[in-house]
Amino acid sequence: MSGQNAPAIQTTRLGKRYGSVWALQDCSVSVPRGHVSALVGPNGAGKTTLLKILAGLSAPSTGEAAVLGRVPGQTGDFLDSIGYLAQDVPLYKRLSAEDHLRLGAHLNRRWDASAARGRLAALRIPADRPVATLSGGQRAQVGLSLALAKRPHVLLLDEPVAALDPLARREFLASLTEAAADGDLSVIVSSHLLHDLERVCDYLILLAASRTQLCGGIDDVLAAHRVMVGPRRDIADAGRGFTVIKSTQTTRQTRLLVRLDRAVLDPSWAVTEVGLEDIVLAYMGERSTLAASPLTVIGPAR
Amino acid sequence: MTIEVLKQSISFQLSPDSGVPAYLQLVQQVKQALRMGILDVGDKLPTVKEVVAEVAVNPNTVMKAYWQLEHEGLVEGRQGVGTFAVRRPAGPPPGTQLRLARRLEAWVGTARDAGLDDEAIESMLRATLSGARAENIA
Amino acid sequence: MNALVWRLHRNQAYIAGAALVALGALLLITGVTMTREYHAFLASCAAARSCGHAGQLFAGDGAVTSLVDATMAVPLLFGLFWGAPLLAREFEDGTHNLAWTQGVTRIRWLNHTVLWPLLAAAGWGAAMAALVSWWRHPENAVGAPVRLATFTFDIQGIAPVAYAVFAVALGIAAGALFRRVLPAMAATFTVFAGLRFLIAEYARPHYLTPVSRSYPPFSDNAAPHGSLVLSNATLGPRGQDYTAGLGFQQVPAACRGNATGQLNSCLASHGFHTQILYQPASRFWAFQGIEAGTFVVLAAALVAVAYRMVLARDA
Repeated sequence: MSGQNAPAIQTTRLGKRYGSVWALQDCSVSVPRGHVSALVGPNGAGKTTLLKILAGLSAPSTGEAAVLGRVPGQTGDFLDSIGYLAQDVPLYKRLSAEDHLRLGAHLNRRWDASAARGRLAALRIPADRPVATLSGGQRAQVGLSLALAKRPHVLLLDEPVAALDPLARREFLASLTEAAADGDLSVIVSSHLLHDLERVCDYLILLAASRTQLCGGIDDVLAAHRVMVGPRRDIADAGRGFTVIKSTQTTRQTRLLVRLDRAVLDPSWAVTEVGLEDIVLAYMGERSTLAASPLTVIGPAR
Repeated sequence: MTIEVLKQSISFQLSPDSGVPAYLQLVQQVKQALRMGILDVGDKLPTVKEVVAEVAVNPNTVMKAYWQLEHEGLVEGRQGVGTFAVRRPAGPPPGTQLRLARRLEAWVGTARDAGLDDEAIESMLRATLSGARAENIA
Repeated sequence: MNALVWRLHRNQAYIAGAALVALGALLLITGVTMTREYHAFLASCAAARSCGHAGQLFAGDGAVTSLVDATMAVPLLFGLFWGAPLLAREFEDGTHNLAWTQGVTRIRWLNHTVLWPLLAAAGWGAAMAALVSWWRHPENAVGAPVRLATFTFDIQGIAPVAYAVFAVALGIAAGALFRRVLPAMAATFTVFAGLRFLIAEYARPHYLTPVSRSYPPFSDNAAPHGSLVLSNATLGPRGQDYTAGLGFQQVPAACRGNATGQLNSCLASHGFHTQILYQPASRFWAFQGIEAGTFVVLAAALVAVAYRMVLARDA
């Protein structure tokens, strides 16, 4: 299925193996159009691998992937629809930002450099010096501008703000959300900085142990998880009927972070909401009881 | 000193750790501007794009805030033109606020006598507010 | 895509262009002088019947001759500085992730990226070979140094074009394999130098079956002028090798009493002869064709390998 109704990205049991090591296994996600999605997970969870497969730079070992209904590959239509920014923002060191913008016009069918030039000017980034002389934050803005000048429908960003100082990070995210506000742009951005992601993203893909643990709207994720605190009791008993993500036992107390499948009726539990960061950490942690099914889709059924 | 000059009518600030959802903070800041007369009836609110460029927040969050304001009858969105303020938020009648403050003082006194400290009182207040909010939205 | 390739490599193109112009100027100036000297010499030696000494004519041209000989290193320079970094630097810097997510397909990117340096190397190599061949013309006419000999063979004719294309293709393949500039350069250097040496030393002398001739024993300069002598042996009637010298015991009894002048003809009549294996000078262009063809075929194979590695592997 391609066209207006296709999800921004969709993968079905996607797997990628390097030698004998599986960088990604059994990854199934589906993200509708129009969202800014956070791709989170520990190092080595397969975030970069997933983004490279979606960008057509890597071929899957098993399973399938689709971007806007198209299989990632070397076709003009596919390449026109995506924008990709790799980690460390690779640019041609001796060329200037303006050089990059001019060359992009030759390499792409759709190209709108005016917004890019405007943004770089507003941020006072010199467009005529070799990009090797720019700071990390400035290079990231150049990279983002190049990706956006393609007018892509799906933008894939791999840890774009990891090496940036707080101001550069804020400016980058503002540029990103501004572009998303223009409409018809879906963004997948991977990052470790959950704080930033929480305000900029409204969708979440969580990978851990190279598998998908969560995939859903952030509001839905928050609504579906709770922390239950109560007197110490047997976890297997207490957790029945819930999907327990993380449990903490002390001498007097039991604390469970659960995904609600039903209401909590037992009054001996104090039930509170829980923040996104704690939810994500619970899924990522070693001492967590990972959800039984590899795919956890929260929200409206597909 | 950092100076920012923007072309939109009001500016926003988000406190991510306040426990209040981002879109509600935006709603509150618009209401405050209306209450204080900074925004007048008929004034244009910043566009989604302008808010997002300043505050680096998801565009859907801004749209949610504006929908909430529209739902409460305070603003009106006009297709292709923008979002405009149409009404000032109703404040409580003058005496009511004073009466409520006195009752709150008395309640706090009772709670303290019962042994609750400030933190317990705050957490109870927050839970009640978020419960009420959930009921409002549902 | 052409704009991108040009923009990325234009500095190298300028440098190579400037070097070619400088070399060309130098060779043209000195070459014209050499040609004039040669014609003057021909005019004078024809009268004095001393043209056989022409080989000494250009012996003292020093620095320029060294520079011309040094052009033998140019194909390797192309391989190291145009070929090896071409793909290796893209992978090392990660810019292939940028280039391959623009609107050009990977194969179109590869076509343009690889084609232009190969063409440029071929063009530069041809220009240089033409210059050197023209400059060498007077020397070649007198047959010294021998055109088929290593070093002189390698810098004129069409072989330099093939070497340049091969070196660039080798660098490109090394870059596709190692994906790092320094290992690619090291591999290019090693394989290029090694292969050129092996072919020049062991294969080239035998491209065509050498001509074999017998001469009276202990003759000097028996091979025709300008040919490449592969071996020169003095043999006895039953094939014994007396190249190192003939002891008194080995001289047949009948010849022992002869004076030196008649000794050689006496030995000849007893079956002693000098056997020479050589490649005649006239085979120069045939050899050039075989050598150039070999390296061009190798270059094509390397380019094919590079394509396979780039298209089949992940970014």
